[in-house]
Amino acid sequence: MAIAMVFLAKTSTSGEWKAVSSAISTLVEEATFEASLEGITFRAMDPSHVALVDLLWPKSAFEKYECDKPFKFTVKMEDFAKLIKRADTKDNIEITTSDEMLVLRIVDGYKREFLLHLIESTYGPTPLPKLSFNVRATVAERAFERMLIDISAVSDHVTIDASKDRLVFTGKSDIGSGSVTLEKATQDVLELEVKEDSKATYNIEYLSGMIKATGSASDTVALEYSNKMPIRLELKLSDLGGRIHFYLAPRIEEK
Amino acid sequence: MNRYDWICLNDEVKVAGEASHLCLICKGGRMLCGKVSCPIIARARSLVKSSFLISSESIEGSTPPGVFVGRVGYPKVYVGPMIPPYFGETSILDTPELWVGRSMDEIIDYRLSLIRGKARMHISDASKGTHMLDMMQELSMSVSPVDSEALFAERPKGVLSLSEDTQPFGPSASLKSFKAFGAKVDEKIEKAYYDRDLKAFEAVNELYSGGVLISRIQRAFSAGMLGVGDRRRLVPTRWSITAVDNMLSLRLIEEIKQYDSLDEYEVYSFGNLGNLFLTILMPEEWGFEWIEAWFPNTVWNVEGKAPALMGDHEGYAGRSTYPEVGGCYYSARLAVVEKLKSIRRQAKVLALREIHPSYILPVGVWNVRESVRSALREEAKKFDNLQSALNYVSKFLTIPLSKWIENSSLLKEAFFQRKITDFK
Repeated sequence: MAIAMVFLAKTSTSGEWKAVSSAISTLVEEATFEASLEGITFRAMDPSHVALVDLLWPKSAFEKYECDKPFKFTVKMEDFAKLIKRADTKDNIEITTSDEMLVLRIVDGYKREFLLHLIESTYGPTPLPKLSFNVRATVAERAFERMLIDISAVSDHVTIDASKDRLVFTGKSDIGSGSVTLEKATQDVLELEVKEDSKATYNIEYLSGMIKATGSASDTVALEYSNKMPIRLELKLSDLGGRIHFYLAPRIEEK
Repeated sequence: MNRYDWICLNDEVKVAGEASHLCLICKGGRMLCGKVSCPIIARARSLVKSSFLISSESIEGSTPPGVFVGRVGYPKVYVGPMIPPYFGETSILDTPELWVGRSMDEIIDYRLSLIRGKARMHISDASKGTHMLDMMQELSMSVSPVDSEALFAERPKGVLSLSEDTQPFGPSASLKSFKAFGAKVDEKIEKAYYDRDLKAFEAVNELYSGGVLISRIQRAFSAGMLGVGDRRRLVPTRWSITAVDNMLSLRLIEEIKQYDSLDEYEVYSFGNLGNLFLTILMPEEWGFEWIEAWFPNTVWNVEGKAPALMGDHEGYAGRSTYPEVGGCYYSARLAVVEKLKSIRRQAKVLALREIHPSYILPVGVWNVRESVRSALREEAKKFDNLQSALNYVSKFLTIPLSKWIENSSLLKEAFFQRKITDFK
């Protein structure tokens, strides 16, 4: 990289990076971020192609963002996450690149600078699945996480059944079954739009990995899905903008 | 050579005892039933009636070499040589890599002649060394049998020690003194032994890439010869076998994840000692599942009416807990990743084992590792879809496919879990 380039991304707290880094870490070991004049994006599927993460982090959501030409940088997520975890919530995070290194500055009076080796990318484009959603709900993050823990006591999978007034989550296995009902217009369900009653089943491990990862950044989770189709969770990075879309393919128990 | 004889190992004789789900998890190892010793092992042992008597309190013979570290009394364990009462080329007695294709009788025959000497040591003696331990360690490094003599505190007792994890062995007695003459040390193991800065994980993997047999690496690891100097410990033989299988396969898994996935479904099969091993490689990212089916009247399912299936699995990210099914999981996993490494591919692997009633004695996890290795050396039968691969597999299996699917996370995943790429 002989030509000097300008890249700087600064956030006033570390929550966004923590959420991004743990969300990506749950699915992949290496991540290629794309930085452009408009902001930072990332998209990848997990190795089994069951889940996909799509990050959109616009320029406007940073405290300061400079990028004079688009480029990609690839990091080993385990190492990246380790460094991000060094930051306290209130710390400023500044990311730049220098030669083959990612420079991470954590500033809160006590100044820290880490250099992380960038790795060679095995990046290939990841198309988004073509979906239309019949259900859209905004649920309190805490209620959703609690539901996952409850259902995981009886099953590895959760079936989400949406009708006009409620969301019913059920799980079933050899040991028995369980259900959690979240009613519309309560503190748990802030929004529920159902074009058509829909029912689909998803792997709990994936869902809870994602919810745990982004819990630090967001109080609510928007979920969208249709009958026997993938679900899409949207998690906001901060009030300034920026979001993670998490797609998970359904489980369909019929041959 | 046969200064003893024994009857038995007759398929008509059945081991009777209290078998339950607990037995499948414990396999005589953890005493989950609360008894002091395992009644199933005791009865299995009684099948092998040895009239081999050791009349004196001393023994002379060529140790293969064999060194056994017990786990009773941990962290103060019994360590000692295993010596047959004769001289000669005895390597095969402690080299399970050479046992595939041998009959149950032959294997028992190899092992029953091994007398185990016992000296009490603390596991951390390995970091400092003691005179007796130094001798054991030198012995452990030998590439060929070592002439030795042992003086015992009493006449060796016991008939045959059996476990699901370790190879069986014969009578034992407390060691009063021990002498070995002219061990020819393996230079690679010796180098690792003298490198007191080399971590055990690295040492084990370096020895393996240097072509040292797994049973030798495991013996050195068990004798506390590998790892960072002051952290060296004696490791009970049964734990060391699994630890080495685990460490070797962890490194290989890292490597195979860099490779492309297989192109087709591949099926391999192999039968050994009343066991049927079937391995299915699937053209997907790395993942592994191991399922065993113990038929009624086999060691760990004595009173069952139906075959008892038990398994464990891991996804791409690996596992963080010890599999309920035990050490055989790691032995099978090692055999599988060795194969993938050799063809430079990754795959999702389902390895199945049917244990038929003719498997009347547990012989150790080497049987799983070496049999799965043997299976994977055979010519693969290839298919372009999972259903055809399974149809083929079901021709070999006694237990119906539906039962396997019911017990297999990997198969359920393959059949029921959709992929993002299905929604274009």
